Amino acid sequence: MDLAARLGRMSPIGTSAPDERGLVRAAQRGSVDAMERLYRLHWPRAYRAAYLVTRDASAAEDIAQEAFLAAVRALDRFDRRRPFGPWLHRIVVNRAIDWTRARTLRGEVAADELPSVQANGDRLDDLVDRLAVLPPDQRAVVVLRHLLEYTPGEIAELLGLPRGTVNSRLRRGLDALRDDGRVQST
Amino acid sequence: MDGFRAPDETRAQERGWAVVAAAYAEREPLPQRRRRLAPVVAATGAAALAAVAVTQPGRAVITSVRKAIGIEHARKALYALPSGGRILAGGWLVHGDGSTRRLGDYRETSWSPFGRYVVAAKANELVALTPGGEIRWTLARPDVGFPRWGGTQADTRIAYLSGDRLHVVAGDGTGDHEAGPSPAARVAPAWRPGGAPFTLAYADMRGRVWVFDTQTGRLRFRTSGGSRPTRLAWSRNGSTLLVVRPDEIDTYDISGRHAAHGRGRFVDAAFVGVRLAVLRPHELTLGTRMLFRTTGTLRQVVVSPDGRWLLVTWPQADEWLFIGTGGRPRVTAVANIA
Repeated sequence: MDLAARLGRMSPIGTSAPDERGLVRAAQRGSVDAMERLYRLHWPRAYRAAYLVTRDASAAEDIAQEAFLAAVRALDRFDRRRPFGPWLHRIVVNRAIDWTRARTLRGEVAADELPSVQANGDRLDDLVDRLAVLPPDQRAVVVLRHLLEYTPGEIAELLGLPRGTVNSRLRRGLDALRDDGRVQST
Repeated sequence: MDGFRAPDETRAQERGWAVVAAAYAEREPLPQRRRRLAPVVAATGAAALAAVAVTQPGRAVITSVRKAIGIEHARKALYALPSGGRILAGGWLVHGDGSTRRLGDYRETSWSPFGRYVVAAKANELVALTPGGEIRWTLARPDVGFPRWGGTQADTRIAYLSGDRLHVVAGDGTGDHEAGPSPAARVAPAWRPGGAPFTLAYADMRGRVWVFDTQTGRLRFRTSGGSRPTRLAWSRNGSTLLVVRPDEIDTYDISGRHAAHGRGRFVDAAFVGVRLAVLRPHELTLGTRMLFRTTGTLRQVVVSPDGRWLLVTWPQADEWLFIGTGGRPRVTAVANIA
């Protein structure tokens, strides 16, 4: 099975774009319910993406929270014609990359010491663990492509990178995951 | 990834909602119809107005000029900003209703990217504070000047000069380090908006302008040398860099291609959308339109973020001029700035 296919696809978002615009509008006007719906709609993927990039649950929780706090601060200025998710994910992934780079420089924890994710049967846990050995930049684009299902063009815009850079990081990341998968772990 | 769950996901979500809900409860909801406060404008040259006195002949000139452009009487004092929003002027913060707050004994100030904080320079100190004047952190450095705050909503950097060295520090005051390949000239650096968030332009002692990524050190491009620039500014979408020198004005695209060149006497300039507002010693133009002309000497031009107003400082007259950019000419003069 193709590795990218094994990483799978997210289920479709339950809320359509016009509904989300309605939620944003209501939240802008003070509806706590609308804000909570927006939060619960987007929290899981934001947190998972942050975790997969940082491999640190506490950092991922902080990063996801900070992203939503940024959303609250910017709510009045937010253009409802734009989708909320990509805007949020840009904050999450950029912060997660920065955190991971800073942590690497500080040499706190080696990647192979990080705990593995909860096992869900088959070899999903192996795949997720192997993400940890990728450099943060490659890890982020793999997460954005195969967890959050952005196209390479959308990823380029999210991260402010040339399209070619995104494609090459994606290729190198997936190749590294494939190669690593051929090595029997001991 | 349908089956993937991050650790402690459910409880993390509930903890997160408690924090987000509290922050949401503190915000003021957007009313149905509200004139948005324009975000802020920094007028760092205004502090110099305090030293200027106006002589009688000067007053006569000013009166005739005002009549010529349709301003009979300048407002005696700043009681409201035509542009709305807030203005930083040295160590002072001017609100849209004309009220002022003294932030401190700072010689220069500028806004954080989204107007939540202020960065300020003292002689030997860099300071980050709230618009209310509460200090968040300080950094002791010699001869601090031209602090400029850039970045994204999630991550910011401050560029500033310490003597002739360019420094970059994170928005929380950590990680301060020297940056830039060459000693810096005393002109404000400029963060590139949009795209890569930490690309910075600065001028060196030889008049060259360097554009580089402050995270990676990668050089985007460097201009040739010349007279010391007086202003570096990016277009709002970050596609074009403006370099103003006393005798030249140039624009470059992000790859460093020289896009436009002009010769003459220039004081300042700024992007208004895709047009250039150019300030010469005695006149202000926007594209091909003449917006204002005087026999006095103008000092600085600043654009309101919505692009509808230009603020021009006129130290000799102790005035600020608010000049509308669209429609028929509108000039509002406010006196007694010092």
